[in-house]
Amino acid sequence: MKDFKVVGKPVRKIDAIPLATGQPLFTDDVDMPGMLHARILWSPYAHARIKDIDISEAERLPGVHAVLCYKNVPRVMHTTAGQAWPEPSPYDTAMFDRKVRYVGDRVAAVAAETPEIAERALQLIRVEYEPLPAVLDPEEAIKEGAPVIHDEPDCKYVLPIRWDPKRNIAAHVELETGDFERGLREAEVVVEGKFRTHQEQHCCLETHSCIAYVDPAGRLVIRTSTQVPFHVRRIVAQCLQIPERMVRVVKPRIGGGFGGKQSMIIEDVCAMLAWRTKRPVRLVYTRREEFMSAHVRHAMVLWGKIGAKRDGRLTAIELRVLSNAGAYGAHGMTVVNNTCAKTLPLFRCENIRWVADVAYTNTVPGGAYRGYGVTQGIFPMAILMDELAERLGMDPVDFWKLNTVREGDTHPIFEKLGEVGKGVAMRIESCSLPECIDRAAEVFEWKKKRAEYSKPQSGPVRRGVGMVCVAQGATVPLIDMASASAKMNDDGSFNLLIGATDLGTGADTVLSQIFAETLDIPVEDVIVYAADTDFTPFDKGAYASSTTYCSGMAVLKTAEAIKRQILKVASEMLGEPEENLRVRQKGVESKQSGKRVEFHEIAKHSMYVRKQFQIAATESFASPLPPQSYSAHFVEVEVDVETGEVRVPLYVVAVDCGTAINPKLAEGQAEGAVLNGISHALYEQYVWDERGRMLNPSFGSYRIATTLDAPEIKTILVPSYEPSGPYGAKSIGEVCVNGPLPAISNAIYHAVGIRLRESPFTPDRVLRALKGKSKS
Amino acid sequence: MEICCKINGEERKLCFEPHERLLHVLRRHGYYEVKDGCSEGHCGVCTVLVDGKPVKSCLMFAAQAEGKEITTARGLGSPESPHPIQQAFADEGAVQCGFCTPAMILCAHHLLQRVPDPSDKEIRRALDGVLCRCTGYQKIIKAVKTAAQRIGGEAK
Amino acid sequence: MEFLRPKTVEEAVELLDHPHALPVAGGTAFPGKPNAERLVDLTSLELNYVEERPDGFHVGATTTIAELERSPVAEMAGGYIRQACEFLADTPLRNMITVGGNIACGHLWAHLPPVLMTLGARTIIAGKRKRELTVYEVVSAGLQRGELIQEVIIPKLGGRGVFKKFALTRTDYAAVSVAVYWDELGRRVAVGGLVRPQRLGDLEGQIDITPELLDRAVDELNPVPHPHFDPEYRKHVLKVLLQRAIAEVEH
Repeated sequence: MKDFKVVGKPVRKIDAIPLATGQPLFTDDVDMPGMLHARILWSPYAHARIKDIDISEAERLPGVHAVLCYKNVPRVMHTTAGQAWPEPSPYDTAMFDRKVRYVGDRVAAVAAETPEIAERALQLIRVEYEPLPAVLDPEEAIKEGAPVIHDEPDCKYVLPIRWDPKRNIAAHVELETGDFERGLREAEVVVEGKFRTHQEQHCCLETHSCIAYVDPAGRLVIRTSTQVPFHVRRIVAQCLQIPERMVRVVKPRIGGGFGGKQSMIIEDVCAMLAWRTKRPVRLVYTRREEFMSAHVRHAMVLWGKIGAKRDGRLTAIELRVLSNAGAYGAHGMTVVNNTCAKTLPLFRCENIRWVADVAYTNTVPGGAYRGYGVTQGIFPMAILMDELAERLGMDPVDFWKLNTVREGDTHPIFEKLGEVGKGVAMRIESCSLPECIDRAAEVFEWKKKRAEYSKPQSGPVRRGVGMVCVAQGATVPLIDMASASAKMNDDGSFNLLIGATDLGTGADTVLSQIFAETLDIPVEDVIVYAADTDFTPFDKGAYASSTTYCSGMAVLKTAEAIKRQILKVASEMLGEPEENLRVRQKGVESKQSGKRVEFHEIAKHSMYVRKQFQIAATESFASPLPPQSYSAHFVEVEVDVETGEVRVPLYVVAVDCGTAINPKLAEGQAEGAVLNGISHALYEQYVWDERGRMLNPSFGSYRIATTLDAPEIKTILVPSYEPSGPYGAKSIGEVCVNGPLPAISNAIYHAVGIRLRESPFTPDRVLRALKGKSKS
Repeated sequence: MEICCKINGEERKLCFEPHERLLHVLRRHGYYEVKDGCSEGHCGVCTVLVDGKPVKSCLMFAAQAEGKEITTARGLGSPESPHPIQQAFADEGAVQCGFCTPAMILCAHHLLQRVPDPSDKEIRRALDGVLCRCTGYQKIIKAVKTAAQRIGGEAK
Repeated sequence: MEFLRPKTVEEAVELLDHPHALPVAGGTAFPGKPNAERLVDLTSLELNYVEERPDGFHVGATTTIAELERSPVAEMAGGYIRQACEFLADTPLRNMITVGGNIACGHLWAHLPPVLMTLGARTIIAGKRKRELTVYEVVSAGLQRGELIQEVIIPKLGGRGVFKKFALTRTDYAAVSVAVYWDELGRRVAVGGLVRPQRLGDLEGQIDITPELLDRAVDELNPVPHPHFDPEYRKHVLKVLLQRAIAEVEH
């Protein structure tokens, strides 16, 4: 590990004090004169055609300024997915359509003087529906004769992607590497099974929030809680059919994203209402709307098969996937691609067969969610690994270590498949996974606990331990691009302008540290302004585990460009050649003469004295590779065999994120992700009725973990050095969310001998499985 | 209707409709540090102290604030002069997105008023009414301990 | 709509005698805009007290759960009431939810009614005429127009009580709850969560709880639908919790 001054230090998050003291930093923390309030009318049907809609009465209600529906907005097919252009998601969405495809789909929108008037206006909209048969289950949806959800003739992909909307197939992808059949023949032990993972809401404490207005120059300004300001600008311009130059997107502080704000969920409607009324319009989702009309983690059905030699080496992996896209295909193909592209390169096995379909159903649309397919893909793989270890009589720790990649390895999948399509060949330059496994096992006391809980247990509460490993590649290589601008101020401080989007993760701080390290200045001298499409250069946004790695490299390159300019000015001031000079503690000094000028002197010189110019630079970084981060997960469970309740008293996670630019923030990413995973595994669940209505759209009936449910989580950062990343850094945002689901399943098996292949592991399901076991 | 109450030490007059809850009235009067995460009493990010006790302002009727003393995160400290709990949250990495932070800090404040040296269990219980999706709570719990130590140190 | 803040019980009773009046205290029972024309706030009635008197603990109706939990009555019978308060909702909500509200709102998940039923607590109801009702009577029949719970009287008892709650997370509503009180005079059992809080007389007379007895007592219950757990599962959990609570309280 190299020695750094600012990088690798637990620098305090730069916005922590303003946030902790309650400063008004979020989208909805402003009022604007004349602001209107928007509300949306939602479909009560899972699938229906709108025969007619009458908005005249609503329009006449005093205080109502605009009512939108399919009759009075342009029909522009687009995808809500906030992805790089051209998007790998189908253009299957219109701002308002003649058809509704899930309960909670948009029907109309109103902007009015008060939220109450807007609410009343919604009740005055007359909609004549023709209900259509609905299909809620992805396996049913792709059967012959199932209701066709996207029968509109104008839905399309803008990339060459296999799909068949007439059969409700939003995407089909497959891949084979090595020789799967041969690998299977060589196997001496084979395990297989069918698995299901379930939907999950992001549950950002700040719901989707947006304020749009037309500025005095006639341009549309959108202040919004988004992970992807530049994609939002592009998609809103597309939907409103106005030039992109007319749109400015501003991202203030964000109250959590987790992928939920990597889609344009509300900005188009809010913007259209502002554009029509020329008044500021506020649209803030209620919690209920967040559950029913935003995106969720894709539920999937997965069939996995793994073969191994008696000595434990894997010979073949098969994974077949059916993903539930819900009513629209945003992120459908890319998420399912990652069940392979970002999941399977963890394993030292070349013979892989992977086939995936994405099915439309009449349920809430899937979207981006931290983990992005790896969460679903690793679930069957990691449980089958546990089964194999048992069949082979090996300790899971040894079995995982034997079969997971190390430094210097490569994997055929890297080249064959990326998140969007073809991948890039990559040699693994940084991987401390073996050490992660060892360190976590030690802290967890794996051997001792495994042995102790393997003995017969009595009493209603049985203990068990389980472990899994996960990888998650950073960025979508060759597509993801980030950039940064910086300029030097009179006093030697710097403005750092970045398009990268801090969702609360601490990205602004981490990027400041990278900038400060490069110029040898304290973080306080870096003034970050992030994500305003008018002022900051393009960044694709916060997703695909890319901010530290990709935006970090852009910041590093920008700082280096600035450094070159500084050295040039300093050389003139000191009368020494540049090669004698180096930056040191807010100044430049000569290695030769020891002479020194301070940054503030350099800044003033460049501004006022001679050959004046602004020391400033903009640099970009297009990600060449998807370096993988790794994590090893160890969990202890207590299973109440009489009620089926599962409690997690301890969780240990060891993470390889390369250099942790800010260890404290990196730990926070790991811990937050782990608890999200535990909460998903044990508590969270969409409950549907037979007509496709969500029965629990509230934190009162969709419970997430509180302080009382959270276990002790021990995080161990095990550094490696990624040469392609900034100061050796990779990513940390997503990798840890994927572990809990399979790790807890494995631990429950260890405790009570039942294999839970369907999530979540709610007490009723656990008890049912226990009863099934005792019968058999 | 109209009531008088004290907010962060200042006498305030609040105007609102009789059915309105304190959260929405506070936000309308510029107390944006009181967050709206569900308006149903579940998420807790709207928590304020009323006469020193944490309550969920999305359920309390604004009219019930008559004559009460209300404290929000801005009443505890400012960026120039943060409260030791606010400082500890910042130092320990307990602030991620920050949306739950003002409420968490108020709950911690109430706990430390009663229990200067709380156990892990007491901290977890005191914060059980506020959801956080970012942190996994570990650093928040740590921050409360750090704050307790710092406040205890000051007292000595 | 009007929001009224009476200062005396008499005044409150008068104001509540209105076809669309709704008493409010903690405000937690219903989010959003109440469906009423008149809200009558009970928190200025000075019904916020716990007093030990010869005939028992007198608990004012607007005493909050947090206050009840820290009062001497909470420690009676092996901390029986404290157990019920401990995991009722969450900390800020316990500063809001009142004893009266937890009984009067008739929520299945309410923790106090089953406990109070086993303790033989009585409620003093203020109205045109003052009357006394058992907790079960309040929960099952509700109050009449113009009435409010003024006080709960909890007898001082020397036995032991155990309260248990089953829910998805710790702060979740009880999907099943059991309250078992035991002293030399016998055992009293009440349940809530899956059905309206009620005593289970079948389990009170017998000394030994056989599986058949348990089945008979529980199987006749008709659980109200729950978003996560089916009725059979909740009945099963109820049996487990009953066995555990009874074993805990009597050994």
